[in-house]
Formats: sequence, structure tokens, C-alpha cells
Amino acid sequence: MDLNELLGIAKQHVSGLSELSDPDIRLEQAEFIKKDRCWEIVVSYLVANTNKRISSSGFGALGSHAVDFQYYRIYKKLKINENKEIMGMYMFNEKG
Amino acid sequence: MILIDTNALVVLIVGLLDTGLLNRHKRTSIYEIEDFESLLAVIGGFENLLILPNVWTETDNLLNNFTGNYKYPYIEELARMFHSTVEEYIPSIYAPAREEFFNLGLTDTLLLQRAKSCDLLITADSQLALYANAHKICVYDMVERRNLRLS
Repeated sequence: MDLNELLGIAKQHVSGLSELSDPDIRLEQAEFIKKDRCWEIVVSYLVANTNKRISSSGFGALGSHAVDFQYYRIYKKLKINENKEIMGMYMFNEKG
Repeated sequence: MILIDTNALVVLIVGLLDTGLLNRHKRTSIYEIEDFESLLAVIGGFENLLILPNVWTETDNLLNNFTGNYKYPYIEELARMFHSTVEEYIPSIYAPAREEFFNLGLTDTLLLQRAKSCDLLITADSQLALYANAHKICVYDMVERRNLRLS
């Protein structure tokens, strides 16, 4: 499989997880795990930011710098086998 | 000045070591020679490149596990870049006062702040790019550019 195919499979799987019409699904990492004969990939996509503040943040000076972002980016790790099947989907910390 | 983040600096250093390593290294696996060459073209000269100490530390933490034939060239390349690029320290105390600190962490919060007075922020971090765009910072988004060629 090449990266195009991996991204295509990932898009089919995660596109339903965002309510946005264009969730900007991206391939972030891709690694073939030889011993497991499968690909581990990291994809990201946008979701609406539903966690906007409703009043003062309560963090003193922090509140004065507050910016409410319209979107938030989610990262997921997917395992895809050689038959192009999703074997698992996991939380992923982009700093990890 | 052009500011660069950790993931993009990792791509730059791996490409400088061996462009054939780009798609074999876990941290740069989606990138090709074309991405590396475009990155070099955007940077121009290394004397334009601003690197925060936090970014150097993160980069070295990610790459210092090179072994064998790449270990010594990596150290040499790092030393060359320390000389040819610009390093600027920003006190960590500025970060917790920024709301982005909650989601981005120390290094990216400082990058976001410093980028506001730079000509360009080069990043291979989609989350940082999202925040930078929201702050109207001029961004070279490597992940976005690579994915445009995939889809």
C-alpha cells in the first residue's frame, strides 16, 4: 500500500467522526510494522470547538488573552492490515 | 526572520543527513525529497532561520537515538546548524499567561508568540498551524502541503 491508499482508507473511516463538511483529514505519520505485517498511521481531522468559555475563565490574567477557536484538531492512530482492513483505532497525543 | 518548529526542523535535519532516510524515519515518514527541497527553498539561507532553544531540545530528544553510520554525521550537522542559524531564548514565564499553553504546551506557545513578529512560521504540526492561522500568522504548513499531493 502507498500513502495515498492509506489516507483513502483513513478518510473512509474517520470522516463520519466530524460534523464538519470539510474536516481537513490529514495523514500525519505512517509506519509499516514488519513483525505485525500492518501499517500504523496517524491521522488528524478538525471538529467544531464546542468547549468555548461561557464566562470569565477564572484564571485571572489568562482571561485577558483568551481566544475562542472555531475548530479543534483531533489525532487518531489507526492500524491497517495488508487486506486494507482497520484493525484498531486509538487515541493519539500529537506530542507523543 | 523565519521561525521553525520541532517537527519541521526534524525533517530538515534528517533530509540534510540523507534524503533517502526521510521516508524511512518514523518522524518524517510521510515526506519525500520534494518536501525537503521545498523546505530548503523557503528557508533560503540558514542565517534567516530562527530556532528557539526549546525547539533544539525537542529536536535532539527525537533524533539523538541515531546509531551506526548516522550518529556522528548527526552530531556534526547539529554543530554546523548551531553556528549558522539564529538562536533566541524566550523565558518560559511568558507561556502560562497564554491560553494556548493549555493545549499547545510550552514550546509551541512560545513559538506562537514569537511568530507574530516573524516573516514566516514553518511548521509540520497541524495543531500549531491551526492556532497560527487563527492568529493571522503567515504559515508554511508542511503537513498540509504534503497532504495536498496525496489527495
